[in-house]
Amino acid sequence: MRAEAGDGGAFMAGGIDIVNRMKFGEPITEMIYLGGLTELGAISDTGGGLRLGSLVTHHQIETCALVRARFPELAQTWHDVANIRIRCKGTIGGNIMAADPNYDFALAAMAAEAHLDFLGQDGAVRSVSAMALGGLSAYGLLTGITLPSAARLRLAFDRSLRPAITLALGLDVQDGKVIGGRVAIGCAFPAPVSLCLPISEPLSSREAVERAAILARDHAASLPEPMTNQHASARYRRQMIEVLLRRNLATLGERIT
Amino acid sequence: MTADIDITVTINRRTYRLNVPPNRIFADLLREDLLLTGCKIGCDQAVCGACTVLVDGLPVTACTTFAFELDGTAVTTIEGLSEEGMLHPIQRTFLEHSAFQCGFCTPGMILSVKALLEHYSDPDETTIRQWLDANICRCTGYQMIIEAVRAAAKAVAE
Amino acid sequence: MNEVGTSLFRSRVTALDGPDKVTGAARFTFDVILRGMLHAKVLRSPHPHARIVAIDTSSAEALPGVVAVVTGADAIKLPDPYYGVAIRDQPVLAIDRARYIGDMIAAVAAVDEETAYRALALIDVRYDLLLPVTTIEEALADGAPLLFDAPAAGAPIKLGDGVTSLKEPRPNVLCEFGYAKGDADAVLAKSDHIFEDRFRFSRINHFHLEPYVNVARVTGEQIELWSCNQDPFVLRGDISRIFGRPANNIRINASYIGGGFGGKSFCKMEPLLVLLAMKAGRPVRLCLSLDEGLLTLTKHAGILTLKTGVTKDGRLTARRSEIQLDGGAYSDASALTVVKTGYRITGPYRWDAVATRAYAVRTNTVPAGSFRGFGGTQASFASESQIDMIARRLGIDPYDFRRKNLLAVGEPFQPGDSAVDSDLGGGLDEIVERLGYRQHRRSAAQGHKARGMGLSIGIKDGGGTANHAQALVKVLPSGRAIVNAAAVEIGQGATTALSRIAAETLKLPLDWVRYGAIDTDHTPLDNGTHASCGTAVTGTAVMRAATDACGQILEFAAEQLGCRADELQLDNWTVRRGNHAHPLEPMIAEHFGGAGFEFIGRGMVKVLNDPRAPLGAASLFWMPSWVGAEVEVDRETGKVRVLQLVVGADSGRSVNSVACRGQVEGAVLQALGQSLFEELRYQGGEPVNATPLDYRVPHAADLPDHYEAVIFEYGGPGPFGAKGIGEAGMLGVASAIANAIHDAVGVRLTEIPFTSERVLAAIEASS
Repeated sequence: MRAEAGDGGAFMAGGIDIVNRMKFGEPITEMIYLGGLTELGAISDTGGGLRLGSLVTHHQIETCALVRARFPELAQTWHDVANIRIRCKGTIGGNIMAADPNYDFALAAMAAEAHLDFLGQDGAVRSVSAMALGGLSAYGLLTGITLPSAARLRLAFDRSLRPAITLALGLDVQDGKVIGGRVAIGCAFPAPVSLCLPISEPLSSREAVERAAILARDHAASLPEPMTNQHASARYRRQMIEVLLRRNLATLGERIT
Repeated sequence: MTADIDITVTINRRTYRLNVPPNRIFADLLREDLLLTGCKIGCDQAVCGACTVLVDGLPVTACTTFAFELDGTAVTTIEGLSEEGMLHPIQRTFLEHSAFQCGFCTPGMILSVKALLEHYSDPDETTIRQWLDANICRCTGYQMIIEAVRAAAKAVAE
Repeated sequence: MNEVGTSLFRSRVTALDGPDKVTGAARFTFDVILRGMLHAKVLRSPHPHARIVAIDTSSAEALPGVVAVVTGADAIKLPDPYYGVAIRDQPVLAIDRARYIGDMIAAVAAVDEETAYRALALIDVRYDLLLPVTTIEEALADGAPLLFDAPAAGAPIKLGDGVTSLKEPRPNVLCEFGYAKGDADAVLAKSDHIFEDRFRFSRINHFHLEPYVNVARVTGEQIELWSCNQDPFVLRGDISRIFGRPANNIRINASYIGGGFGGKSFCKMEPLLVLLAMKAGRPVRLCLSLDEGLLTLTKHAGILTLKTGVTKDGRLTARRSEIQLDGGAYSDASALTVVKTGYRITGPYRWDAVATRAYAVRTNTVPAGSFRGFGGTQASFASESQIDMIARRLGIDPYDFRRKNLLAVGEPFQPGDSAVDSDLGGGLDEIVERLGYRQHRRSAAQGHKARGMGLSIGIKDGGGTANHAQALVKVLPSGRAIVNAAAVEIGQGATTALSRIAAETLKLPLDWVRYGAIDTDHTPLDNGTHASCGTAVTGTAVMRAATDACGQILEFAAEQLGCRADELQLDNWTVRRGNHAHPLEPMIAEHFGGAGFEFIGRGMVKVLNDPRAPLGAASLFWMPSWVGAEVEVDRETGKVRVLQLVVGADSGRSVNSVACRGQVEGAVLQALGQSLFEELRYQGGEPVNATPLDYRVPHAADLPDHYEAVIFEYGGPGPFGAKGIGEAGMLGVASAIANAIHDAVGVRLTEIPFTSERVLAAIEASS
């Protein structure tokens, strides 16, 4: 159906993004309404991790017992995303597919190294790492997002400086030691951006956190120049990437020990 | 464009069977077809919340909702809040606490508060502020609205 | 509720417009529908500065459903197609030039909004781009492109003796105000210290939730408007002049206004709509989007340079101020704003000498005009920031410095003007107490966060200048009453306050009084709902009208009872004579029969002109704004969190104290938003966030942890000792926060908003 609709066609989930685009003059002539596909609104246990249907709303992320148990930081952060209206209607799938750097769920998906399932026009399902986001609509219809085992993942979110910059940090933990991680940055670039952080530390001491922060800063230097726009300059954003990385590594460090 | 869509929607406890164009916006349907003009349109882009109505108890901006999305739902507008001429406790506390000035945001604000009190029986100040983040008021500075909400929470509990 | 005073009106009342507003029954202009009404949309300039070479509307006119299209070619045929306060340079529709992105170029009336939008896309405009000037500096540079080729109609604002008021004195300068007391340069030269500091103020939009909305109907000779305008009679006068029609053939109907804040004051797009309705031959509704509202009017941005002299022990001596306001592309209310900003720059202090020059610069940006505070906000930001800076430089506590220099009650603001009528020092003391200013010690740098406190006393003259109003009060046979006055309800509580004044005067229960519908055919003239004059000015007219009605009622009763009127007293629609009570309703029925009789009381007020007063009339009352702020600054990110705001304002005597509190709290939050983040931002000539999605206004989550409004009652000239209070909350907030930031981290921000980035840059620069 989507292929038939061509350029004037679009999917509609919660409608938050698409209605705005229409009001600003985008000529959408056909809309494929996904609201009736209730199976896409399910949250299921993968035995350690979670599978979130693409039509899961932000409100479900905030309130679902399973999410709160497995990924408490995610649920807590989601309590503050947008506002209650948008959280009730907006979907995490719509949020990701809008590819708006100011939107939050892509950051969570990247930091967690989630996998995104797409249903292609050929009927096949492809699973794509969240870290490889780019040219999303080429993959087809997003049907679900799989978060990995919570036992081995620690998440931190920092939205205190939006709309200059937002940050999601995901650390992989094994036997009390961090064996890798990712940082995802929003608001600062034209699209959400993620970076691998090859941290290998117990993160239990101040010195370890400091070393991890330096490593993170050095890797962040490889990121392209942030945007300068009405909210903040590239310079400020660059400075804040470093500050927020250090602060959130310290926060996670405390949590791991 | 696709042909008009049949929908069945309950608004303020009354069931309507309507036939709507696919791109009919719910706020326009309320105001123009059903003459429920308490729903005011401010920003027209889901930012200000003035057009908030309750759909199955949840706050939604009518200006960015298509009429077809309401099929099978129960909607409450400001007109549906009072019953048999008796004001809802939230309306009463808004009056008692002067929780409005120009009044343009007020219907949406009151409905948003109704949903809040159905989710939280005794919300603290932080919870109220966060929930009402969805409704802009340019006049009051919010403080007196929050006081009205706390009083309403007590009144509703009784 | 925080009240320090002795108002007559102790009991709390429910706002009379309340039941309508909480049930959704309240009708705004937004809700007005006329049968056969068309819908209009406006084509706006995409260029900041361009000559309009040609407009081809033929395709638009041919679109089915389009009834009429108007352009500058239609506007130029009008008897006088320009408007503006005092200086009239804004055309009903752009005639030969577009002067800002958003300037109105053409308008369409069609059967529905969708068709009107489609028609806009079919209008072909050929522009010749011109170089824009988008900042004050650019506009004033040598050889800068000019916005106007010829002088505008109008005249400079008439002020008092010895005060300068110039119209279009220099290229790209709309108007200029000059005030001098004594010889400022001589006094400065003799002063122990001279400090010169420059401040930059930003532009914000009113962002009233009800958009600009009007409905016009022209039938034969008569022009009718249903308008969201705050000043129906001013508008009637403008429409009369523009269209060359007698004013008694023009009828303006007002409803509840969904927020104004000055944005709906004075002529805006109403003449354009009338022009369109004339051509269409049917009623037409024009409802702008909030996006368009962002491109219609803003508050004046500006640069204020203050050169202030002081003795070594902290006594202010003289101030020379140069104030440049960015007036945007068109006059609107800039001429008046310039005067008021210039006059208020001296703040609530005593000076040996003053020299002020204030002027509005024309730039290719959104026109700036009336915004709550009206120059008092800009002036207070600069003045109260500098007061703190000077105090710190001299090693004097900012509280002590202010106390030393404040004007006392009874001291004229300036020679020839009225005396200060608020206890400025007493108010400050109360705020200081509630803020916990004395207990505060600047906390040693705890990690990366630091806390600080700041004080401020903003001030403006209130009630307008040489203002006037008229009112009628009708008392029906049953004792029910209707107040007819044209202070429009914009949320400030005019409905309840004016009804309460009438009820108290007539000794009637409040719920027996109704505030009548406003239309210029039936409602007496009012000079406009602005300048916080509703209670003190219109309210005085209402009280006099009610008093007049009282007199008539007692005369009537005296005749019926065969006694003298001075033996009688009115009470709850009976007349008391000694121990006897005589109900009026039967007395009226007996004498008149039929439909009975209405007592119609008439009242008016005019603040006298006085050429000895700098502004041409003594200021009616003074409106201070005492602010105490506590902030927490994150040294690493620059983020400022406002922990406490304690704001005091003087209601004179509150007619409705809860409404006074609401007005102060609402204004304070607007000011807080502008201090920290709210701004209509420009990149060159292009507004970058002119849409509700990107234009951030304060939400509930932006409230400080502790937020307190204190209403003082120092007495005023209005009914029962009232003043006005609507604008007070705006004035001192930005400077109090700037002062608190300085207290916390030792850096001075002289430009608002105090974004995290700016604060961090200042912290880095200082170390």
